[in-house]
Amino acid sequence: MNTTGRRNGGSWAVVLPALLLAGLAFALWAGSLRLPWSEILAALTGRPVSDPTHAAIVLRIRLPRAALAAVVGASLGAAGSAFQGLLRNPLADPYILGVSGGAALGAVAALTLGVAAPAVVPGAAFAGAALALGFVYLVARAHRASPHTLILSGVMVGSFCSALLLFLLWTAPADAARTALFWLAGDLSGASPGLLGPAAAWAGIAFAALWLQAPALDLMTQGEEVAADLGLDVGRARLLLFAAGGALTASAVALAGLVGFVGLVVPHAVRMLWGPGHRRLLPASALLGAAFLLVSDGIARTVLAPAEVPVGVVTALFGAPFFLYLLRGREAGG
Amino acid sequence: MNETTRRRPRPWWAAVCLVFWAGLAAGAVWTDALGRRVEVPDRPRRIVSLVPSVTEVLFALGAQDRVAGVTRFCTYPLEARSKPKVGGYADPSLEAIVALGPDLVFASADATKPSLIERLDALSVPVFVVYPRSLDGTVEMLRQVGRVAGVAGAGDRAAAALADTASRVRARVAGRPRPGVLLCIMVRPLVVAGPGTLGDDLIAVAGGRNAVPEGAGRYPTWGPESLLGADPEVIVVSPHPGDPAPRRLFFQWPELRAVAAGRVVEIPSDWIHRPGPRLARGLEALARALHPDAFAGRNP
Amino acid sequence: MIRIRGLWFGYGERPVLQGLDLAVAAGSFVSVLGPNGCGKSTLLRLVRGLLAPDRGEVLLGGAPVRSLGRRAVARRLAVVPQAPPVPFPYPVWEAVAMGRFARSPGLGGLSRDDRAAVRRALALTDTLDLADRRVTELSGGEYQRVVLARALAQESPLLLLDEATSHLDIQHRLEVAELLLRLNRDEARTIVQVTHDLDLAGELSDRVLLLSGSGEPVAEGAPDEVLTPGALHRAFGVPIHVDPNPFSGAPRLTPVVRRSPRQPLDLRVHVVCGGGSGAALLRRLTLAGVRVSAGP
Repeated sequence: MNTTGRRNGGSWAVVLPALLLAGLAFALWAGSLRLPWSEILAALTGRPVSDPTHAAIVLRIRLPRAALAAVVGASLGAAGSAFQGLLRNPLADPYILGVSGGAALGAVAALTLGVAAPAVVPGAAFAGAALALGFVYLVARAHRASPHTLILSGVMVGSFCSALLLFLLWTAPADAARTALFWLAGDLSGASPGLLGPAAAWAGIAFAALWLQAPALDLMTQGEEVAADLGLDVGRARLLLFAAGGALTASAVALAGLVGFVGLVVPHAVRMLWGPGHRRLLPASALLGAAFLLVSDGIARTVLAPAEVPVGVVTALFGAPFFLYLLRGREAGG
Repeated sequence: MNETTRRRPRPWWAAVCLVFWAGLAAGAVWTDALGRRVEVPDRPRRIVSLVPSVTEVLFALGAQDRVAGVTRFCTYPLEARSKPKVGGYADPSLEAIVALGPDLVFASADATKPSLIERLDALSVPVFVVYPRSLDGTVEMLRQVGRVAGVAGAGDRAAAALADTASRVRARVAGRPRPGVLLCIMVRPLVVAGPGTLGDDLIAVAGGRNAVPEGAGRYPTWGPESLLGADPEVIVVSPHPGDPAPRRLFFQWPELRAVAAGRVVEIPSDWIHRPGPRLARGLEALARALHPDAFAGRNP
Repeated sequence: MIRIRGLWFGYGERPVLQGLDLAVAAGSFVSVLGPNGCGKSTLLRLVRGLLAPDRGEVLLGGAPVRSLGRRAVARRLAVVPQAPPVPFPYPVWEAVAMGRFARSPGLGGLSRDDRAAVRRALALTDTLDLADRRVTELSGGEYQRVVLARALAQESPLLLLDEATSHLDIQHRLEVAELLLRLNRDEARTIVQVTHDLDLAGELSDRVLLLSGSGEPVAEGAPDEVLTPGALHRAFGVPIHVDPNPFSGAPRLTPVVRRSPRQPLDLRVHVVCGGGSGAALLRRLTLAGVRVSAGP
């Protein structure tokens, strides 16, 4: 007997990195320009390419964007797992605790105030998300921060932010409102490459903090009283999980706007295939989330090329049927 | 309580009276851009414009005194801002429109919701819909707005002036090589004018070739890769208050021919995207940017 | 092992426990009995430090329980609650292994000792064959045994059970009862259980604490001293017949059900009461067939 999923063993540790690599390859290949693999590999390895534009496309457009998609997808996958466990609710997604509303409000406020500096919008989105999360936590803590009150106050704070957001959009000049709408639909084209390094480091730290709490997260899924009886300091664990999951979500939203569906569907898929234990679930959801968003973004950039489709459309369009398929397969498999 | 209610002014009731009165007045029947037959009094006295470009045209044709209401986005000319507002152009308030007692409403097939037009129809408010998608369409619109608004002479003159500018520009660029042009609506994200738009027609008349191929949507969103792939020779951007220096986006791609040759030009958005008399300026500016040598020595 | 002195506790204005004293010696088997709402489960929460007493103190192995960390408490006592269903499909093996958290909290996985403890807990609770099933696929009784296994995997000297056997069928209820006895006798584990199964409590326990509906201790002591018709009537408010079980000699309790057809009473009673003070009386009068009115 072992503890790492006796049914499928460690297969996730092979399958998912392979999937991530495949996703990365697809993201480097996909685009409005059909580049042969020899050109892509040459650009990546620094060998001469037939056209300097091709090197720029691979190295300065596709690679940073793929890295961004991977960071955002991994953050959303891991944060989704954490919030579903913390809230004991498989239907929770990373945005449920008011993060989306707060981030959107921050970003749109910055956009409609006409601040054009590249780091301002992500910064404002991050600040909005963090403020909303902190507020939700403080409100819920007054009532012992049970999953129930957390979700309720999250939904309330989110709705309040959305109302303010609609008001801002309505009064905003047309151009700013349009930019804001793109951002709200999830937009991987917006983030400046300079933000990528710090954002990846931030996400890495937050993920490590989350992963260290994996055993605590397992206990939290059993109910708070049970978790306390099994030896967990529930209040501390909840705060840590909340902060780490919130940090991942806030940075993902700041980088890419509201990319939907990844944080909901990816943890589900991993749980169905490899079980709910969080030592596996967190890294596996991060890997699958990254791969999923890489592929989705590749599709979003090619399907109507040279035009781009918002990536959120693709994640929902491909995620929902895939999810239903998994659900059906599980029912059939008993 | 009842007393005060009865004494309050009743804009709805007054409006309905006005509408009946307008219906009884002598008028002519026009066919608008959607093929609807619209009966309008000979010289409408209370015009509501739901289209910023039509507002501009009405002021240009000297009908400003009879403009009773405009949208929040009718910002040109400056005097238009002091007219009563009925909301945005996509979501004006039906009540605010009717309360102004209009005998003519201008709407746009692009922006105005069909349901709003239906409800105004049901209230017997004449709604004239415009839908200019080309330079010729704008010439036609100037003429139509002039006739419908009772300033036919001014309308015909404005239309002729725009048509004249167009044929002068056509003649001047004739036979020259047509550079690829990218006309940007906004740059964050990059939204560009595709085929079937007014901008596309301006490019053609100004002697260029639209770098945006036929495809998804009239105003597609592009990633930087599509930009590098198309590699236009001229890029046109329009600064706006939210982004005063949109040219910056392109300077990070020195590979672009337009950047290397210094041919990323700024033209005010209203000159090229608003179908009105100022389109002549936009067309000239565009033609000058595409064919500088053809206009050498001629100052604007 | 557990020492409770002058314990008062209430939720807001409503008092639940009123001046409770209790000492649970190491190696004893104590049952806490009483009607619904008498504060039995609250008492267990106070014992494990999840709630803070309004007055009085709870000592666990000599230390105030609230001063111990959760991990230290979990090493001293394990709880078998009426566990809420879990929405995630953990395999039984992993669910039981969560019992080892207080002893090996790291990410490194389970040690040899941990594995042995988990396997033993599965064997003791007759759940070895469920080890690979998912907890979401189990029946209520199966899941309750898994919860018991998780508590046993903690290897704590004190075991608290909160209505832990109420969902089990008679076979598994007896098996669990035998298992508890064995743990108590052979491994000297101290057991405190809250239960509605009066007969089984009388059969298993060294000591019984009987609480009244208002949370006052009615009696405390050996089962045959506490489980008397008088004390039971004071606790539950109904007549219960008690005689020795012919097989074990433990008190056997039989609720007395009145079968004689009740004569309708031509009686009208007005009870001067208010604020809930007459609720119990009103209920009994109504059940007795009296036409009742109430008011101040």
